[in-house]
Amino acid sequence: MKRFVLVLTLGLLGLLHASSAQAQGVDEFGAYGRTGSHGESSQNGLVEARFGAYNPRVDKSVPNGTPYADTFGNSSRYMFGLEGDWQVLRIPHLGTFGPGFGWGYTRASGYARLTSDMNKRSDEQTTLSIMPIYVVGVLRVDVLSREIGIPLVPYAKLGMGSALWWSSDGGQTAYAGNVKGTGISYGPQYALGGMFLLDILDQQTARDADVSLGINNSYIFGEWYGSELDAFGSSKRLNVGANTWVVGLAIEF
Amino acid sequence: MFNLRSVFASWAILALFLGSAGRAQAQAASGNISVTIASTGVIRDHQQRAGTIPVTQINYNDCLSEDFITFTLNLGVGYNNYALEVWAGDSCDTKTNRVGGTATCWKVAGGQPNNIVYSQKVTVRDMLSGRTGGSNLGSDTGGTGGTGGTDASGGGTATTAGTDSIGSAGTDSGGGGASNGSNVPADAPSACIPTSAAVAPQALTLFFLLVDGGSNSVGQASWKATYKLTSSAPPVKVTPGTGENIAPISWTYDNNTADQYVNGYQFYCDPAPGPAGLVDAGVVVEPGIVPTNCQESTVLKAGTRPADKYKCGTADKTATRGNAINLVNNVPYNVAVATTDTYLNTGNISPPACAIPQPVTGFFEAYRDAGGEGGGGFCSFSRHGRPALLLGVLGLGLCLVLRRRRAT
Repeated sequence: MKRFVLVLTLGLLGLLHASSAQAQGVDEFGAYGRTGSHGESSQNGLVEARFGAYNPRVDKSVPNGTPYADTFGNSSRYMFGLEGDWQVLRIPHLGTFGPGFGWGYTRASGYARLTSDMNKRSDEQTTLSIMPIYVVGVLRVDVLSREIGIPLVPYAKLGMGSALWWSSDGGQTAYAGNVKGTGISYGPQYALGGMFLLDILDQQTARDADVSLGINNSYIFGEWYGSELDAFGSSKRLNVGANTWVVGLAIEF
Repeated sequence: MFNLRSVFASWAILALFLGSAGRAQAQAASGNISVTIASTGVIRDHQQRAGTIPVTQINYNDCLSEDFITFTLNLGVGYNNYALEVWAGDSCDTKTNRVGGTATCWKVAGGQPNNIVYSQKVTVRDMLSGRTGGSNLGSDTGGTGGTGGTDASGGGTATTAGTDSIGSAGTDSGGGGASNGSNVPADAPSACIPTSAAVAPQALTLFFLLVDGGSNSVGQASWKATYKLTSSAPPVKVTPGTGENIAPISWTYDNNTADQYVNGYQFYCDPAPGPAGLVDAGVVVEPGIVPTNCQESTVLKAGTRPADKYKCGTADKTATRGNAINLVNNVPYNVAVATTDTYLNTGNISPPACAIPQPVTGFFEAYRDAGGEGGGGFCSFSRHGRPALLLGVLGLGLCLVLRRRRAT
């Protein structure tokens, strides 16, 4: 755990140093907030629409049994999400760095089992809804597309995630004894991914979008991402994090 | 003792009285008589309906509970020479629709107004009475009983001309009440019984007339309302399931004709929901014993409207399934479904089906049974967690932003 914090801190401090160097006037692309040397409008951020499988690590966080799989089965559930990144820093000959904020939602549902015979399903629906929210630092390496002409942008994200979750039985909030079936889990979150620059497919349209809408670039992307939403190993939290893949569309503006 | 001042005062009062009478007659002759309904002058007695459905809409419960409407009328000068009568029906401002053998309107209220701004109370049941051939206030001006208002198949031929103060309206040859299959409660007042199987709202117009001794109208205002006394037919097939303290219900129609006024579904359970329902029904729960079937319900009969105490859940209008709630495990329940509509009517129930709630194990209970310790609410924080880490990262991000701002 300490190693994770150390790496995170050093990484962020290193990027602050890079920013400082840039602020001293070494940025050949021009200052932030002004029109870049590529003739584009200023570039400040990115938004993503995300979709992917989501199978929470619930069963790995309990000492006995597999309650998630037993209730909802082993088939994949899916999550829809949105993310917004603020590209605060431009690192010369590398890319951008800045904070990103994301939100997602997924829900698993199944039929509760009869207590008198756990091999039989009742007709009562039981659900687990998860709403992850996260704040990450996003390093986007766009030097390939900006300086070399390769339309790929690899990126990495590291930060903290949190998820509200709630379970219901028969349409009402679930209880186990007096314990309410709702909670919040949190922990580290990380991702590695790559974006394909769509602008090269139709450069004229891309230029028009920039001029008329301020959209600098548009991408499709694929990402592997993981979250350990167990309060750093606490047994008191329902681990609703996941290791999974995500695909989506993104635009830079 | 002779008092000159008293004599002058008496003469002044007499002159004032004669003068005002003369002026009223003159104005009546010049046609100033009028009736208007004040813009805010229609108030329903059942105030709990306010904001729920429009004041112009009348439902079955309004009739059953004898709701009334108070109209504030502005009468023209000279009103006191005429009687105010309230009639329901079509074109009741036409004398022949009120008086004589071809009359189609029915009188719902009337009297002598005592002020130029006059409040007239009209009961919903009286408004609907002539339509169904129920009790009618009758008319001392020779009005006959109602013949069905605007309900296409309702009404019928008036059999008794109402020449006394409480006239008897006509019988409903169109088939009111249970005879047309509406199956309203047996003790429902005849005025509240639908006169046809049609469930769409029907129009009803009230006419407020100032009439002279010859039943001629000299000023009138009208107010349009709609009434709907039953909701759509229930689903034909109701399938109950098993849940813990609930009965999941799904339903289908054999031939569902879309009714734009359907607004949801109402569930009924026998015994009534909750422990009190078991006491009422004399049911004793035997722990650990799961019954296998239900006894035939004496309360939930298909095509009837059970009492409110048997209500045990609702569903939205787009739903095809829902949960009967507040049930007791291991008790056999008859459950049935009725439609509800935008007029807040509840329709007749479907054939009942048998449901037996039982304990079940949902996800969260299974998770806790497996040793999981999560849960307890969104605001529960564990001593073992490290929220300071989250705050630390957020702080670093903030530093980054501040640094960036200074740089620019």
